Amino acid sequence: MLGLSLPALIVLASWFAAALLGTPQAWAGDLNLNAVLVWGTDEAKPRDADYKELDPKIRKKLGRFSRWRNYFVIKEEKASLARGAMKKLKMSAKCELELKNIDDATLEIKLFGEGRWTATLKKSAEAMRKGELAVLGGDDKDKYNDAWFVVISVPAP
Amino acid sequence: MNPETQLKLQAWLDGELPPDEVPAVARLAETDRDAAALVAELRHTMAALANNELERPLPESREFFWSKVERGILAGERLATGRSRPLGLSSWLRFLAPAGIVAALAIVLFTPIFGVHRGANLAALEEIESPLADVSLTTFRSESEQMTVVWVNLH
Repeated sequence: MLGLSLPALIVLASWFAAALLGTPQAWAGDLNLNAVLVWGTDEAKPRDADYKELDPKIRKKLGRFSRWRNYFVIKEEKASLARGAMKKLKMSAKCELELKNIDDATLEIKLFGEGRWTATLKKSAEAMRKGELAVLGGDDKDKYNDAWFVVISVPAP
Repeated sequence: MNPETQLKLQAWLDGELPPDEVPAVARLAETDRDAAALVAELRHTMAALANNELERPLPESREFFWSKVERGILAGERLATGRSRPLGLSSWLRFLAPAGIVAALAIVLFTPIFGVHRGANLAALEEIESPLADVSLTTFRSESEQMTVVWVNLH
């Protein structure tokens, strides 16, 4: 074919395939994210509150690291980030998130606590798409023995 | 008899001895038994070579043979002076072949259809930092649960 030998064809085919398939980011599209603010506590849910229970799958995962009896969803937000896009999510009066799809390969999560930039976590966007969770958490300053979590995930299609 | 004396006897036989040394070496060859034996043996060898060497004729004349050698040397010198030919496809393929192998390996290692588990590699891409002096971060990573937990400690 084209006067090329078999080894030459293999070399050219490898280059062509690598260009098409080499990086998953070539066809990634927007990065869709779920961000959930979770309250971890040993107390029962307050009667006047309409907090939902945390998704059982995520609850089970969190339980591997944390010891609280109950996990309540305080707020849930969604974001869809094109390559290079950034979005701020207000999770509570004291908690804000800044999510940025840096280059389709990296998701940057910035946590702002009471207006202060507190922590940054960079995760592989591909890992997130595969179902990995990014979790930030800490002790509740207002309530002894309770904790807060922010769980970021990519929702299943 | 030492090697130097043997060499002088050989040179005397070959007519290559300096003139001032000839009388002494000639006298030695006549008076010394070992020197005389060596001279006799050398003369026999010289005669055998002179009279019995097989003549091996070349398929071509001597001039033609050496002109071929000269042409070969000149051709080699022309290549060495850097008269290059334009790069043909074969030259590009010699360059691309190893790169193509690397590309093929990259496909096998980094394409999900091959089912290679890459959780550990993707976790290695994580970065965690805090700009605040009164905050420390503790990180938990679970490959089995596929999650990373960053615990924010306020001091």
